[in-house]
Amino acid sequence: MAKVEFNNVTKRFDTETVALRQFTLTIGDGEFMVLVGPSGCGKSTALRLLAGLEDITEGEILIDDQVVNQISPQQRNIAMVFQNYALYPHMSVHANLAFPLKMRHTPASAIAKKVEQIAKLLDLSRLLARKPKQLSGGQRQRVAMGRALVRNPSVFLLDEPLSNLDAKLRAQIRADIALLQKSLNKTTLYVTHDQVEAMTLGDSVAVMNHGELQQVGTPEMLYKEPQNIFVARFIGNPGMNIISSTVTRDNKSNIVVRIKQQKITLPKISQGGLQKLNQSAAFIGIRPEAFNVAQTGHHVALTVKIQSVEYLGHESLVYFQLADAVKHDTNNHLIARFTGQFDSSHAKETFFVDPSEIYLFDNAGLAIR
Amino acid sequence: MNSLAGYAFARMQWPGRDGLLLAVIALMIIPLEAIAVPLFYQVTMFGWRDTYLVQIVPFIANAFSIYLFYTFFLGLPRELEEAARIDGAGAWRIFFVIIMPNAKAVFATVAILTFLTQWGAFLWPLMVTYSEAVRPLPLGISSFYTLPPLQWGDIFAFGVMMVTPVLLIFLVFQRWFVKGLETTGVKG
Repeated sequence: MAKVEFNNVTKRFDTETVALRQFTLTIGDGEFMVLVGPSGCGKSTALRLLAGLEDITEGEILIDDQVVNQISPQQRNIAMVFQNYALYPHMSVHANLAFPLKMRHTPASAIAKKVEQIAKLLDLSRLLARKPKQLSGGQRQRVAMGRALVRNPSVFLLDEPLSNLDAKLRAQIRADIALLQKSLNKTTLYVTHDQVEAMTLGDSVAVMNHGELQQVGTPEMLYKEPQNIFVARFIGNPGMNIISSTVTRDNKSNIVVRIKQQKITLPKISQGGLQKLNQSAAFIGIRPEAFNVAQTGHHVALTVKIQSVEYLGHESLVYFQLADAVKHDTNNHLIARFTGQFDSSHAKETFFVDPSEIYLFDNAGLAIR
Repeated sequence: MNSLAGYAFARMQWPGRDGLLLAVIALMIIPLEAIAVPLFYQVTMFGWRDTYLVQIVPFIANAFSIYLFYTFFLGLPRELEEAARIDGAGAWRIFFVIIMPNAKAVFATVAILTFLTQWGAFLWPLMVTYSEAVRPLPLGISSFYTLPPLQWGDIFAFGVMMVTPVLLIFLVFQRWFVKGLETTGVKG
């Protein structure tokens, strides 16, 4: 059990490449934190810095209030599962599981007991004599987890551990990892580029982009209250539709959003939000699932041109553009999600959106509430 | 020694590494004939002439072998070493317990290539050895080439004697040898 803190950590690989910039994050004792972001956003670097596999350029990392910048990986009492599992190919599953204990000079009897216990926990007992190449992807993944768990580390690091598995196995092992983490209650930092993994696994999720932390919060908070356009687009599958627009106020101080020729009146927003909105250009965001085909209450209407429909069985994804959008317009690629099959017989449609489900972002991409 | 050098070139950061690696690669194209005379003076200074030592020591470190190990270690997943570091292994243990067992094929390749070169060595032993006790077989077979009539039967019998161990060793290590050439990306 341990608390992990990153305090203004910066990692530079050379004078031009900054992998991590002023990164500050606290992972509570027993918390499951997921670092998520696109490739090259610095999430794996953060993990490797915590593991001690890379040196920190600036800032400090603390494990249980102790600065570990100068402490070697073997002394940090952390365990890590790698993307390619990094099982020792020449050793049997038993030897792989026993290796971390051997390195710590654990007595042979204790090693045998512990390996047996872990093998039982992860259903590996039948496979102990096999070599890694004789195992399936899922089995290798379990061995890698076992090797990390066997010496009872205080922090558990996972670097995209599911990315080499097929979709079905990924879902199953994702559930297994969540269960295991809950039962062991270990402080865990999990790195992934897959926002579905992030949303389903994490107690908290930290979204990163270009080496900077964008937002930290519960999955629900990230989905419902994204702090900026990047988070809004990244969280959710498909992500939020972002439409550039101009914003004005009518004589009743309502916010009026103009998108091309269309006009939407939004409910009043906070005074702080209003002050941020002194610029006319802004962005609005609408989640794909916020669109309706039937109008209820005060829903606002958007006239759209349907481009294509993907029927997925339980839902349909409708690709559309605003009716007055021109080619190559950024407002050109919008997605709506409807339950069941979508009737695509009309090329022109009107979609309705509850105004409370429309997000406003300022010119710099920051959310306005 | 060659494997340690190859590992240091492939995996460790140290000043002058890239320059020295270039020098090692450049050394591969320098034939023995080009360095035979200065090497002869050097071993004479050490008083090593007409010994086994003079036929072994100068050839322990070999640029081609270092290069073979270097290319193999470059292709070995770095995560193996990182996992071992996190598991608590130090640098030497990582090399001997994790890296070396995975480099068996390259060791076999280097062993076979070195053996072949040394088994067929002619010029260098001719320069530095005199007594039959320490001379290799190629010098022995050359002593059959005297004034006519040549004893072809003896020469061919000797030839078979020379080739048999090479064939046996190759057959035993063939599997590793092929694997080694595959994994190092070096084509024979």
